Amino acid sequence: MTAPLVLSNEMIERYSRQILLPGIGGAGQKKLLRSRVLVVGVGGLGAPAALYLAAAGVGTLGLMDADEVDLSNLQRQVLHFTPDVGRPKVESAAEKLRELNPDVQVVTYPDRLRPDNAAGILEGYDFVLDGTDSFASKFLIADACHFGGKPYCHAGILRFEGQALTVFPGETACYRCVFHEPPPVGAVPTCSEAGVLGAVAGLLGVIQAAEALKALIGAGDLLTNRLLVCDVLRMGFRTVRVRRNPRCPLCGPEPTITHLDTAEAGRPNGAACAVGAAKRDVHGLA
Amino acid sequence: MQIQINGIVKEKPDGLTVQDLLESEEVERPEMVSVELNDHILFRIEFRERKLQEGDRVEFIYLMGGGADRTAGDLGSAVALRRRPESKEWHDAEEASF
Repeated sequence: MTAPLVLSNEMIERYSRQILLPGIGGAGQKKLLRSRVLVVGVGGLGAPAALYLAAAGVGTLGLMDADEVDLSNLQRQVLHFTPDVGRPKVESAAEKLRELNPDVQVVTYPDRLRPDNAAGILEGYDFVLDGTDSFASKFLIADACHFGGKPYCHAGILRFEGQALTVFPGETACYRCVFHEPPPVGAVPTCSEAGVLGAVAGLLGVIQAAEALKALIGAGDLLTNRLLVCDVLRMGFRTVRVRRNPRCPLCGPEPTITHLDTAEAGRPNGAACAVGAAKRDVHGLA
Repeated sequence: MQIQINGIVKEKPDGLTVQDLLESEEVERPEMVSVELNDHILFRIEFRERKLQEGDRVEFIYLMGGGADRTAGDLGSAVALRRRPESKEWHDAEEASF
């Protein structure tokens, strides 16, 4: 779909409350309508993020998720309703988003992000939201966005807490600058053991959406070089300064990760998401 | 000596290493934590040797997953179990960080 060059009267009315905002205006709205955002994972983070991106008129929304809606998802994954249980998440989400805003072209990928498909999918997008759960996915997104030069917003949630970081690869501190590599597999308990408050997922997902919108419009200060951490139980927010790490295995001057390891794509858990990290314990993080 | 941990100033014995601090703060899953010392992320192998000094600022940054359940590789999801700070400590940190 080609983004319209002229805002229709209906569009002006639909987006009037944000067109009014300094830094957006008609020009900003047109930018949004021409923008493409990929939401990887349409769950606790991705569902609320996608809702706000669609409502704001982001022209193309890519939704990627291989899962089907489960009853236990509904506590936080607000795009999926009770009758959707058992349906593919991307289908359930796309239906709601198209109803919310027909201006938005929703593209669905009922698939997992893998080293062998990441580059091709990311290529068509301006900004990526990491709404994934597993560390394999999070590190893969960080690596693929680095190699593809795509800005992205990471978020993590746990119990009553969350964190978020926006990354412009090669310019600002990346996910691997902070977390060099995934923890050992055995060290990671499952989500069902830990739990999360649905509102925390919503909060962080909406923060990601706000970061994407700001990045697309070019407005304000992004969560770059600072990690937002919040504790909803105590309702406190802090930002922790993070720098580009001269020893970062991905974006440092002497990277040990030089390309996505597509040879590992056949592995069932895709744990070795990039060459180097899994094979060389140079970071002492094994 | 006084050091700042996640924005909260605490009194700690001299000569403490980063590893000692992880233990004294009862971090349950140190493998899930990145440690930033004075704005620089440390390598894990440095934890045992790196001695802390008066005025150091330490951040424990926890790996957190938690979004769609199985979007790509299925390593399970992210959990960082740890001792939670007291409410008062968090509010003190607020004042310290803003």
